[in-house]
Amino acid sequence: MSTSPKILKGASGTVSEQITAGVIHKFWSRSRVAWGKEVTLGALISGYADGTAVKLIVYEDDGAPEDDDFVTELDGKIDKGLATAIYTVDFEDPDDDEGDEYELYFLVEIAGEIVSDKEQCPYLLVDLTLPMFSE
Amino acid sequence: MSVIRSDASVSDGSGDHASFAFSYASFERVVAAMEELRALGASHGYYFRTASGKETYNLGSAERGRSPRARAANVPTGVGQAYRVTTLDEPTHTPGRNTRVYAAQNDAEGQPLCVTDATAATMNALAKALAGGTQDSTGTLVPKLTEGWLPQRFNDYWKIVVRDPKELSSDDQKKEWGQGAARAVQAFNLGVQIDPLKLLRGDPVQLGTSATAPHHGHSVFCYATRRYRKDEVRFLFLGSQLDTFGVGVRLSDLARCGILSEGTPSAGETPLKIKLVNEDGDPLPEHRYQVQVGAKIFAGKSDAEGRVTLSVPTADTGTLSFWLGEDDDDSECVTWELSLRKKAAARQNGEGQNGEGQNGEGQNGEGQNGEGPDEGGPGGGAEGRAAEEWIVSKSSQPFRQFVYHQGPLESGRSVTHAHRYGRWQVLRKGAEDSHFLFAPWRGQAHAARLLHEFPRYPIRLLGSNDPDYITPEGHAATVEVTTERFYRNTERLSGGYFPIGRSRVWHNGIHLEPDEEQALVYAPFDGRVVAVRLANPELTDDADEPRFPFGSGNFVLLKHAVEVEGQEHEFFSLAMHLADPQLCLEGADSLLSDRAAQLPWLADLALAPDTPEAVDEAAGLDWAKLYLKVWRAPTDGDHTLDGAALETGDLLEVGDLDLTEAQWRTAHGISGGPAKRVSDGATGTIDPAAINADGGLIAPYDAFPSKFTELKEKLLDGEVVDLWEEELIVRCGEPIGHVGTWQGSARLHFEIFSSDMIPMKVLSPGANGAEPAMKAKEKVDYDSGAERDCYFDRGTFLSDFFAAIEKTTNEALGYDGEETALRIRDRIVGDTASAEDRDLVREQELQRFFNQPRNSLAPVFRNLIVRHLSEWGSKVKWETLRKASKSLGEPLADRLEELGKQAAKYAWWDEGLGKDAGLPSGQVAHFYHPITFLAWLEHERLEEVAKGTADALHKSVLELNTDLEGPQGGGAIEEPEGKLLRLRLNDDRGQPLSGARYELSVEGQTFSGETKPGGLIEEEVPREASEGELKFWPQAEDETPHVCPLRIK
Repeated sequence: MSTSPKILKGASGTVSEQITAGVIHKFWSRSRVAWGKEVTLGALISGYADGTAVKLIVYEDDGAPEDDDFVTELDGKIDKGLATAIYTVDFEDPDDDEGDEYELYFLVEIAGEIVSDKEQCPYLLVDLTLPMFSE
Repeated sequence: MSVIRSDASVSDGSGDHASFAFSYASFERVVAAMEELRALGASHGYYFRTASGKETYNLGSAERGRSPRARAANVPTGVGQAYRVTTLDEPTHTPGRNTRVYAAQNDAEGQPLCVTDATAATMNALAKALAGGTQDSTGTLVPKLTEGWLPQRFNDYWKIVVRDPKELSSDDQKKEWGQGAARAVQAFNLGVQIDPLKLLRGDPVQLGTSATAPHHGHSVFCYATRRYRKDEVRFLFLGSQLDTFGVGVRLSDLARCGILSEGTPSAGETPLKIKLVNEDGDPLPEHRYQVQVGAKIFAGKSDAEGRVTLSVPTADTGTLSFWLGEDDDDSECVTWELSLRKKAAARQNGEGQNGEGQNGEGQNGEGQNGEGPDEGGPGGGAEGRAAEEWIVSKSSQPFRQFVYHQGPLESGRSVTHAHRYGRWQVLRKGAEDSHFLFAPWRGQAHAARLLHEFPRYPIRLLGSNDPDYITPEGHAATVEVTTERFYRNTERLSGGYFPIGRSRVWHNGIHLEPDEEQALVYAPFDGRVVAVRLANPELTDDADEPRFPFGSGNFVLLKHAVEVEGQEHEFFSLAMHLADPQLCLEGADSLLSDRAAQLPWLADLALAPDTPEAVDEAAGLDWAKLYLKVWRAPTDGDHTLDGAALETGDLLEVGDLDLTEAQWRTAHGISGGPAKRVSDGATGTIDPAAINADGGLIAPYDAFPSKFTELKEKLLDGEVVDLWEEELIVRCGEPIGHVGTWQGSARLHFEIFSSDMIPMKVLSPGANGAEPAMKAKEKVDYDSGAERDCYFDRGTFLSDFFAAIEKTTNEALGYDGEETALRIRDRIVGDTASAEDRDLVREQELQRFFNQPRNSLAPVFRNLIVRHLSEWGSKVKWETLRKASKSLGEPLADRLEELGKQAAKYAWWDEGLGKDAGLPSGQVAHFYHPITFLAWLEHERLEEVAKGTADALHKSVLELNTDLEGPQGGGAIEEPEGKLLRLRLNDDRGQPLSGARYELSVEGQTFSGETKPGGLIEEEVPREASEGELKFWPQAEDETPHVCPLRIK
């Protein structure tokens, strides 16, 4: 899906500038993590008032969105334009034929509506590679 | 000019050395040259060049008793020159006396015709090794010393050809010339003369042939040695003799009588069909035959159609003799070897292609006869021979009973026969410095040790392990070209890097991928075998799980020593993931496998008894004694012990540890002598030759390998075996194993480590833009000490490791840590979002880093020295690997635990292993990139050669690695009472402190004296000594000594 710009209206009159409302930027606090470790994920959101409830919905990337596995749903609120949550990596990939790594991304939902793209999100690499003896 | 001086204790006869620089001729190349000559079918004979210039040849034994002219007339005129070596001073070939060497021609039918003689074969094998493949325009091989062509005098020394009678006018001059090959090697700096009692495989030996004429002798190469007592060495030699029809190892006279099919037949019977025909293919009915398989003899006459149909014991080999004439004239008897082994294997595999149905008459008719041992006759090794009908006739290739006519020098059959039935020559210390050779020589022996180019890389990569390797561009391979080839071989792989692999934990060494599977692995340096494991890959443990789940757990650990710039360094090399050498093949005659036979250090160990019957038979024997075995009781004559006739299976003791020459002669069937039957102690006198003449069959029973019975049992059980006390010396470049598999691919794990840090030199950038130069490393780059969990906490490990190597590398190279580009971590994990992420390096990132063809940062890893617990150590806490899941991920817990169990199976470095060899008991060692380490040693070697003044490095290679201690004194080899403590004193400037008075106190004993040249102190101290004190007075006038406490390892 895509986000569509909205016209913000003031108490009276109409502002002359159009301000894009939606997710401007998404991030993980690190790009790779071991299983069981905490990681912070967040989104920079404009167009919504502070205190607005958001859901950060984490998926495991399996290629096409319809194949992606749901991981978890984290609650947060917008604070100064930023919504964050902490996730302790505990997802066990049901697909055991994809090697010893998997990647996570998340979407942002506000008021029941998804307001960000998969492509907009960096990936978090979860490394489950076993040390290979004497290699 | 640089000269390597011989051991001062060994007289060189003349008292001086010729001024020739180092030259190298490895025994491997010598053997290859001997093998080439043997493969040409060279007979033992003589070459003549008549006054008219006609070249003629004596074909040796076949022509014995005839005049040279008659012999020459019998030789077809040559039509081509296949092979020739010159030893003249100039490169052009000038026919003459000194080229009567590897003379090879083709006969009128185009078949190779080649003759050689005793000293010609050995000297020219060495000359060919020196030639290194260089030929002149005539196709003549031109051996070269560092200075140029091999001089005439080398030939004169080797062959004891005296051109000026004055040279033999005194006894001393006769002694000098009598040193023959040993003198030639020494005089032209190809090696050093050694105490002959310290003889090793590959050493040139001059066998004195007369006690009264010291300038008479025979030059050969030592092929194998055995040590029974300290004042004696027994050895086989490789030369050219009449009784080996040319190049070969002499066998016992008794073995030559036909015992080569000895063995214990396994259960079962095998059908054997033979048809005897004449040269026209017509049957030979009613002709006498004799077939022997194992100890069983079948004799009779062929049927009306010339057929012989038997059911023989299932065995690997046998012999067939048949008489061509009808009058049983023995001179008309032809003997064949029957190769029966492969048939049994084919049947087991369901590959009965050669079954009886396919082997009707005529399948092997005359068309195949006479095509040589590998094609037509029963001597061939073709599969399925046992059940097919052989057609044999006089025109077929006869079976020769001499070792090197059975196969290549290093084939299982050749090596087995050489060791088991060899005529082990005895050399014993005589009065003062003299030695005594048993018959037929009875003169003095002189020996030399060849220098090898060193080091050698552990496998051969497109010729890069050969000192003569020429690059595709036509240039000699430099150190840089060679090392780069090996670096890239490792770094292009998916793992196995140094010092961390794709596993992102310590990796002691590197993985190398050979050009071919099961490639030979070579000793990188002269050294001594410390410990080995040589297991069958199919082994399972008590739980019926694979003993080695990831690949081969086999290894050979060697210890080496070298002196560089006055400092003596000891180090170890490990060749891991080796293939199973298979030791002996299962079967009736327990031949060495061809693979095992390629490993000289392994031969006697691999030949130890391993079947219950063989072990039982050897159990009642003393390995230090000589025995004969009665394979078939004589049918005629009076051959009794205490009145009881000899019986088949009797073992007779004919020689003890204090072997006399008379006993030795009896053991080899040269003369009769006393014997004692092992089973009942009956004694008497036997004449082995007469026993065989009277229908019996008696031959040597080789008890020596039985000293290794327990060790072999451990090897076959997949156990680690400590071989330090066996004093197994390997020379640089000698094969020590074969590459096995690891994680499904052909891989050699190769590592070099030491207890104390060795200041290896690496190429470092020069200051202020100067050219890069080799610079010694002063300290270890990363030291995790005895940390036993280093495998587990990957994050911490990587963080510390990268930080440490950045720091030390920058310091070593003179870079500012902040400004330098040497941020390896960034290169590897440069796309991470935060510094925290760098702890979690992915295996693909490491692979990508190492795989870069032109990675400017790769040298940083190549030059590292790291110290940590060996991955092969039993002290690694594999059982707690599960805990690593806290940092690696909880889902991995079970898999980590299982990995730990499997990895622990590969540990070989147990508490106490290699203690006497100096293996660090804590299992913590300094590890080096092995290619960098070897490149450094090669650099040092080239530096010394270029300097032309120093000889310490070359000398130390021989003295520290191949000079076995203490041959003095008599009696059996005993556990030494003490150990040699060697110290070197230097002054404040690092110069050796020679002639300084010292007192050494160890375990209540005080040793005093003055330091030797080089500041050396050598004292034999109690073996258990661990501490001591050294007092020394640097100057003669000093009253107060310097006092140093000592900790002795």
